[in-house]
Amino acid sequence: MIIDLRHDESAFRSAIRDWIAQTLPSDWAEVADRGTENEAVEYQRWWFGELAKQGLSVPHWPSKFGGVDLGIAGQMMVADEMARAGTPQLSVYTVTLNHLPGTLIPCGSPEQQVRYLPPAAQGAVWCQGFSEPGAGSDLASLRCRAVRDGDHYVINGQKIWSSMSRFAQHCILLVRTDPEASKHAGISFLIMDMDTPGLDIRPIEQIDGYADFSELFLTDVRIPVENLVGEENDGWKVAQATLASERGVLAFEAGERRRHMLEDYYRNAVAAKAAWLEDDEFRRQFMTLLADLQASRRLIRQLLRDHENGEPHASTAMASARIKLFQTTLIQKIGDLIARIEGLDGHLRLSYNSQRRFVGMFDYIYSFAWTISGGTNEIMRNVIAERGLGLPRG
Amino acid sequence: MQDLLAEVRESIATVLDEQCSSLAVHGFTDGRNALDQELQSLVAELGWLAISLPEASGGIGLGSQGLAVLNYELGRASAPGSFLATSVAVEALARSEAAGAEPIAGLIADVVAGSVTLALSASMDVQRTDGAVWLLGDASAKSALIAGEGDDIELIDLDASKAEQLRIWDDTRSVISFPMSACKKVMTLRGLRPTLVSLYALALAADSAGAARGTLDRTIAYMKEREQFGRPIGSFQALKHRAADHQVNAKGADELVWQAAEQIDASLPGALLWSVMAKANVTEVAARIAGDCVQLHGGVGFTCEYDPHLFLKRVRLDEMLLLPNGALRDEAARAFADALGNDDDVLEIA
Ligand SMILES: Cc1cc2nc3c(=O)[nH]c(=O)nc-3n(C[C@H](O)[C@H](O)[C@H](O)COP(=O)(O)OP(=O)(O)OC[C@H]3O[C@@H](n4cnc5c(N)ncnc54)[C@H](O)[C@@H]3O)c2cc1C
Repeated sequence: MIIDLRHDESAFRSAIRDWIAQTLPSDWAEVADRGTENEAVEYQRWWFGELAKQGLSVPHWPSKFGGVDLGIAGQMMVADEMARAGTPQLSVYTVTLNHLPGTLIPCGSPEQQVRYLPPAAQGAVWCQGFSEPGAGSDLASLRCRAVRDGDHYVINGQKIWSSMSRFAQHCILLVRTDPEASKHAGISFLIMDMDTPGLDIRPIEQIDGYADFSELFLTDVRIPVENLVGEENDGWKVAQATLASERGVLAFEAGERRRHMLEDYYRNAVAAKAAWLEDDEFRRQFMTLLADLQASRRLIRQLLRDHENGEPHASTAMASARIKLFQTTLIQKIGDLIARIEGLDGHLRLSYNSQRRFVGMFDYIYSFAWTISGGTNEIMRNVIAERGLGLPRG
Repeated sequence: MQDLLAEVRESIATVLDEQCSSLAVHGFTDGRNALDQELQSLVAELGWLAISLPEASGGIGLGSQGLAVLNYELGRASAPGSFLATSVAVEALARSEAAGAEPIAGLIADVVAGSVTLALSASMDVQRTDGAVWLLGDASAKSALIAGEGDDIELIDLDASKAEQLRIWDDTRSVISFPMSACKKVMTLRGLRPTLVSLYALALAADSAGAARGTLDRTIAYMKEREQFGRPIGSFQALKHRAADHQVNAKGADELVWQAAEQIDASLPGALLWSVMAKANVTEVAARIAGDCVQLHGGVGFTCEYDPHLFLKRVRLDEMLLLPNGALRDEAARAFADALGNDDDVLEIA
């Protein structure tokens, strides 16, 4: 298996390259772009399955849960090769790959770990039910209510913006178990099966025409008490572990993919003698952003090195907040530039299922997902200013 | 090498914190001390101009990264003097083919010993119509590097009596004007232009990144102290968010400096591309940060008494030196297209 070569960087990398070349059809992006959103999701499932067969789906997980304990350096090699080859992005698996292990490995019971992690390594889709209509940036004000009834919790309330939830088998859910306690103190962390009676999933049409996220309506949904992660009313602490897992290698891969997309975009423009190359403003702005992307990729590498060297969490957390702000602002600027370069043509609604290249207005519109989700950029600025620079709370 | 660089940085920072405090710099700009001269002897004594130079020229061989560290710290302290011009010129001379022979070998030794300073063409392209050349450097500079034909660079000797000291906004540095007729050609350094442009661009980027860091640190400290409406101004979210953006952009700017320095030292095909892109991006980021730091100080930001104006004027000068940023980006765009054509991977990060 490819993964057995992981201790020899060049053999490992070239085995991954060869395997991708043999496994992934070279025209997959064109096919994906012609298909529907659901077909694209099916494609992701197929690709995840192929990766799993090679031990490449969750190589960073501990071996007892289906991974191979691949350290950060190894993960970077895998992510780098995937970005280089422009393989399908596993957006359906974001929570499966990151939030789930980020939560269950430090905070789950041994039973929960054994029950949920190995199937996730084989492709079970998970989603996140944290945000509510009334609780976004101020997540701790959430109100979705759970009441103990024997060996079950009975849940009533509403969740929103839950990405990929209509494709998911399980959900990590934050609920209020003690409405009398202060807002951070009365929250619990549950695992919910998505086929539980009383759960109604209603897709929301997004700014980009897709419906990746949905609203979840919960009416007398019964969840067994064994699905509680951590202690009752201690869910806020568990949620911090989940949220800390959102950045890092994810940002690395996003940066690497953009690097190749920008390079391809320029190469194609040169080959086609594109008119925008003669436009001083566009050409210079392109170079400005190319340099900023390099800076961003360097900052991410620095962060991952610090993680690997065991730097204190407080300093890596601050670096990751800075990177979130820098990288997502940059992604938005790149989208903005491409939209202006493409001009009127860029306003044609072209499909972007493959996420393999820049398509007109799409990247610009989609860039707001980056600047809003995972803690808005304004919240990042608060964190950087207060906890990083030590400016007084307002 | 990284450990040594960190040590060197630490020691430069410590010395400058002591010898080149805000108070001392204001004393200099008010004409009450000769801080530039004092630093000049200190730099010679501590061997700072030898940090980057190759061992063959009597240096300690830290290359472009050493050059970047030195200029970054000088920028952070807003240090007066002609160190940027001298350090870039001597490093370029040491990298020229004629480095080992006279008169260049002797010139390098004199620079390291602190007995002479060097100057650089303020602009690498503009031919002034009045037959004068503008140089970044002291009126007493012994020699200068200016653009020659094509990729050639001319080493010229300067006659201090013909130098006209220009009054510029940046009080911490000196620009002089020489009639071309008073410049004595010493020798033509064939093909040195890309090397000189890379080093010059890198040093300007480093100086600006350091200056941005310096003014931002001081401004954040001020925001914690200054109170209005019964609380520190740093607690106003509108200001906090600007400070956070500056912090993030300053970190990004630092990375571009190291990106360029590493590329130059490893003689990678991206060396020129990354140094000119670093100069273009970093000087603009620094100008935005330094400008906002004036604004964040309120009325005192509009005075000469506080620090923000020093940094703002300094980075604005950095931004205009060498070549206009648009032209540098055009050069980078051509280099990028060439690299793609040659299959040179200039975006790879080691
Ligand atoms: C594409 C996408 C996918 C998502 N996926 C998921 C998911 O899978 N699961 C999930 O639980 N959630 C998900 N979210 C929700 C996301 O976490 C929230 O949208 C986000 O935290 C912001 O909350 P909000 O939408 O309620 O906005 P609000 O909090 O109402 O913010 C509105 C505006 O006010 C600003 N603001 C709020 N508080 C402050 C403050 N203290 N200081 C300064 N400005 C402030 C915000 O920055 C924003 O600009 C997703 C969101 C998006 C866009």
